[in-house]
Amino acid sequence: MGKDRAPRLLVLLLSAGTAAWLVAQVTATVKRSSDLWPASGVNVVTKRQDAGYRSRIVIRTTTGRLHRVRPADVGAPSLDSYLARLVYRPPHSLPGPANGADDRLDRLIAAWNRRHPADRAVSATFSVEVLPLPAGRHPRVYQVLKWP
Amino acid sequence: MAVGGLVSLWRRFWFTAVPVRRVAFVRVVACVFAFVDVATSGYITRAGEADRVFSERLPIFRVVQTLTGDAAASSTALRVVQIVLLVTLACAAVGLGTRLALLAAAPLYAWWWASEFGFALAGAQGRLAVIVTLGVLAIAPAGGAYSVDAALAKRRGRAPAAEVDEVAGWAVRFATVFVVISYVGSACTKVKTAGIGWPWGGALDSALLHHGSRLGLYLARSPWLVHLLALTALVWLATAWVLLLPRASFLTRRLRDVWVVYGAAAVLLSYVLLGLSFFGWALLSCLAYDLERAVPQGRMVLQRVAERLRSSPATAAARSRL
Repeated sequence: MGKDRAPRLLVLLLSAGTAAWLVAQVTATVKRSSDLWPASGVNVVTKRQDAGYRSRIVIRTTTGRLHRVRPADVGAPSLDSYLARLVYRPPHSLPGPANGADDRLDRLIAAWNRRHPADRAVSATFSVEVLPLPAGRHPRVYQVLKWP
Repeated sequence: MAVGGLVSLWRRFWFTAVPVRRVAFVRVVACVFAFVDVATSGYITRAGEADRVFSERLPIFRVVQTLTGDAAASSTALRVVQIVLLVTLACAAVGLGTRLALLAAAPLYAWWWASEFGFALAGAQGRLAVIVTLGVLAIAPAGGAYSVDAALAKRRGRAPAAEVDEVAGWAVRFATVFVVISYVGSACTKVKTAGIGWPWGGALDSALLHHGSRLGLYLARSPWLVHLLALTALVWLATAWVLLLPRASFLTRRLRDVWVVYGAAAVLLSYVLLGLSFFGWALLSCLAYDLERAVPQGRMVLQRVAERLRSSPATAAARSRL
């Protein structure tokens, strides 16, 4: 048993693939994009923050009850990333609605109505609880969006 | 430098032959990890019932959706994926039809975890290191040792696989470079986004308040400790290149050991404090070691323990009573 040299064609193909991947990975990292996944430049916990944020949607239904929407209510595996795109949080200022937030909220309410035809939503509010840093200070709640 | 020199440098960096046993060892570890991971995440099949409104597919999964329609993301399809995936991972772990099993396991494992969050980044990113490793192992001669395939080939009198192999070297190098670029890239993104003061910029504090466990929330009350953790994490990410240092020097080996130990602790902490699972990424740190030595060394240790047990006075007394 000795040292096995790989066939020239295989080395050539692997080299081309490796070079293409390197270009894709560096591009994704520089652009911070996930479009070329599995080459991805998106990372968690990167932004400078002066507070912690918790988002919530509360709806009033036809039966008059108030209900805080949970992922299972609207058939979502998780609502974290969906809700994060509803809000714009510039550093050192108050949270506000992000671009396209109205449309996203419409779609979420539509998902609720599809799953609860007997108890449809009549109104909804999307608010953000701001927890100032350092932790332990009193949180404040801001209403960001109303529906309809 | 002449083109020939560059080509030779490229070849030496990517295609230095390594023992086939090393990639075989990585195969067993990665497949056992992925098997346990898939077996204990059956809840993902429920993602097939999710409202399509929340499906925010990465481009690669949009292509699959165009080809297969929504059926491939249904709960029934995900149940089938789980079963097939467990079978292929088990086959790959024991080395039965290794290449075919790995070729099937890599995309199915990606599909499985991506489906957790509507084929968006969150689900697909956490296991990315293992997905890539399964993919490169499918190309390398990962079934050349510690496998049913190798035992069968020996029994049939076929020539055994080479002891060292250039494609095995490429696979190990590719997975290592992948980890290094991802980690260093992550550190660069943090500094580019929040500046060199990222550890003090509130990013980790905010994440702890948003996603933190009870312990995480408790820790968030001590900003200096959170910032110290963030600083060490940033240094750790930015110095991932120690995995690529030559192993000949005592100093570089110790540097690597410190880096790997801190990495293991950091991954455990992010799970305990934030519920983020980066275990698959941590697992790949083992690529920095000559894993092929682990099996004979482990065997030697076991033999020594057995010998000591045999020669101990307690064992001798028990024998005399018999």
